[in-house]
Amino acid sequence: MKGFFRFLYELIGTPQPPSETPVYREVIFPNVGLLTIGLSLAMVLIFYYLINRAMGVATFNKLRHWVIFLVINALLAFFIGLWQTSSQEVASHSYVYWMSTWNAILGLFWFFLFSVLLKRGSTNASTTPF
Amino acid sequence: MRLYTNLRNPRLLSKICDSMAKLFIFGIGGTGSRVIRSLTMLLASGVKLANCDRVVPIIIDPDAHNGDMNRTVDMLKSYQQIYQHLGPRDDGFFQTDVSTLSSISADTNGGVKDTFVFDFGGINQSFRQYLSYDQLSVDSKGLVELLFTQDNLESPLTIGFRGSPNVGSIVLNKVVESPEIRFFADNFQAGDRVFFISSIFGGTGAAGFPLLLKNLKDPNTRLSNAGYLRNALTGAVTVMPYFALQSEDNSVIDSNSFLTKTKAALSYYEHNLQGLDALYYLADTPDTPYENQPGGTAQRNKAHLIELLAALSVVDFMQYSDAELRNGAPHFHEYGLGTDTQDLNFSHLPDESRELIAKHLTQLLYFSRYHKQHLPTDKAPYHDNLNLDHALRNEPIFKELNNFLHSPEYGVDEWLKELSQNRRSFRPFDLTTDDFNAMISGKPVEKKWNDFFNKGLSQNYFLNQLNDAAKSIHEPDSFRKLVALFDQVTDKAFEEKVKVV
Repeated sequence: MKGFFRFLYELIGTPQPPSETPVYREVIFPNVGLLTIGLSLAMVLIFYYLINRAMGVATFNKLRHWVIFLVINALLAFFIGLWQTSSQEVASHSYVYWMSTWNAILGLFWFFLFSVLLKRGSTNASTTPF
Repeated sequence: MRLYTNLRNPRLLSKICDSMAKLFIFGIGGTGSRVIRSLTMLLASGVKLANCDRVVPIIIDPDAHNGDMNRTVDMLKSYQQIYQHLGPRDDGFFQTDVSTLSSISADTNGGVKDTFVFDFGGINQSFRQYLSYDQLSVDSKGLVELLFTQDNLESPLTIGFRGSPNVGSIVLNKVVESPEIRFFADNFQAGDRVFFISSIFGGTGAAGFPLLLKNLKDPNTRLSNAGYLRNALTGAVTVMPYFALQSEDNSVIDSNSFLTKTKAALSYYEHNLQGLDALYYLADTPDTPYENQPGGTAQRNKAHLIELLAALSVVDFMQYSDAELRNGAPHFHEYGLGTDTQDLNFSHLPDESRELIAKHLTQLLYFSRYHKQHLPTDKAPYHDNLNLDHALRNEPIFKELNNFLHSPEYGVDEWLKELSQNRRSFRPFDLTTDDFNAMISGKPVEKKWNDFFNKGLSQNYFLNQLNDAAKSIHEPDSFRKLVALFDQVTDKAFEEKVKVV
C-alpha cells in the first residue's frame, strides 16, 4: 500500500526538501491517501445514500448539487494535505501546497470514481452526474 | 346512506370481473353523451366495472354536430388509444377496455363504421320530407297532423328532435333496422349485458329508450341471437329534469314543459317497459338555467353532478350478480345525497359513493396535476429512465395522454372544472391551488410541525416516490411504465397522506 501511495503522490515529483522524503513516503502519503479515499467515500455515501435515499430528499440530485459535494470534497482533501504535513512537522516548503493541491485533484478523482460505482443504489440521484 | 336504495350482498362490491362478458351501453341523446363522458372519466380514474371485461358505448343521436356528443366521442377515442397501448391490467388508470361496436368482431359486410356513434347517414331533411308527407293519402295526412304540430313537421332533423319525443319515436325506428343493430345482435353473446342512458324530458332520449328496449326484447324480432337478447340482463338510467333552459320567445324547447313531459313519459314507462331488470331514476331541482340551444355544435353543456351519479348507476348495475338482478326484477333505484347543499364535496356524498369514487378521482387529479405542473420539467432518474424528454415531445401516445388529461374540450381538467362551476356544483377539489396538500376540499393533508422533512404531499414527495417506483417496476415500454408509476405513486400518496376523505 505504501508503494501505491508513493507512486500516486510522486507523480508530481519527489518530496521536497529531499531530507523529508522518508517521512512523506512512510507516514504522510499513506495517511493523506487513506484519509482522502475515506473522505471521498463518505461524501459519496452522504450524497447518494443519506440525502438522496434515506432522507427521501428528491430535489438535491442535480449536477450542480453533485458539483457542490465534489468541490467540498476537494477543499477538504486540500486541507488534509496541509493538516498531515503540519502534524508531522515537516520542513516548510512550497511542496506542501503542491502536494495538497495534488491531493485535492486526487479527491476529485476518488469522488468521481465512487460516484460512478455507487450511484445506482441511490433512489433520487442514480443518474447524477450522468 | 346507501348509494342506491336496494338490498344487495356487500361482498359483491369487491368482486372483480372474471368473465369475458361485454356491456353494451346505449347513450341516447345529449344526456346519453354527457353521462358516457362522466363514466369514461370514472373508468380512466380506475373505477372498476364488475362482471364484464369490455364496455361498448353506442351513442345514438341524430344531431351529428351536437357539441356534447362530439367531445364525448373525441374523449372515447382518446381513451381507446390509451387503453390499446396499455393493454389489459387488473387495476389502475384506464384498466377497462372501451371499444367501438365494430371492433368487437370482424364486420364481414363492412356496413358498420369504426366509431362510437350510431350512423344515421346524415338525415338532411325536414320531418315532413322524412315522412314523405306530400305523397300520403288524405286520411294519413289527417292522422299526421293530429299527432304532430306544424313546427314538428318543418323541424330539420339534422339537429335531432328538439325535445319532441313524438318525432323521435318515428325516426328512431330506423335504428332497429340498421346495420349497426344487426351487427350488435349478431355479436351478442350469453352473459352480455345492456344498459340504456337517456333523459326522459327531451326528445331523442325520451323516445329512443323505450323504443330500443321494446325492439331488442321483442319476441318476434328478426334480429339474430334473439334469445340471448331477450334474456340479457338489462338496466337503464333515466334522467328526469335536472336543468332548466333560458326562456326565449322563439325557441322550440321550453323547459317549463319538462315536468309535463316527464309525467307523460313516466305514465308510459309504468306499463310499457318490458324486459328491464333494473331502472335507475335521477333528478334534481334546476338552478341556473342553461343557454337555450336546441342542438348543433352550440349544445355543449357543462358537466353536471347528476351525470356523474348517472354514470355511477352503470357501475352499480354491474356490481349485481346475475341471480340478484333476476330475483324480483325489475329493481327500481333512486338516489339521495347525504346533505342537500348546492356546493358538494366528497363529504356530502353517501358513504358508499364516496368509497367508490373518492380515492380514484383523487388519484386521477394528482396524476393530472403532476403531469401538467412538473412532469415536463422534472430532472430526475425516473424521467431519464423513461426518456421523457424525447417521449413527451415526439411520441403520439404521450400526446394522447396529454389530450385526455388537459384538452380544453374534453380533458379531465375541464371536466372537473365544469362540475365545480355548474349548479348544483360538485367541488371535491380546489382546482385553483398548486399545493397538493390543499387539493381535496375540506380535507387538507396534515403536515407534522415537528418533522422538518415531512412536507406532506410536496413535489419532493412525488419525485422521491416516482424515482423509487421506477426502480421496482420492470416494464420495458415507457408509456406503460409511466402510467403504472403514477398509479402506484398516487395510490401510495392517498393511502399514506390522505387516508380517508
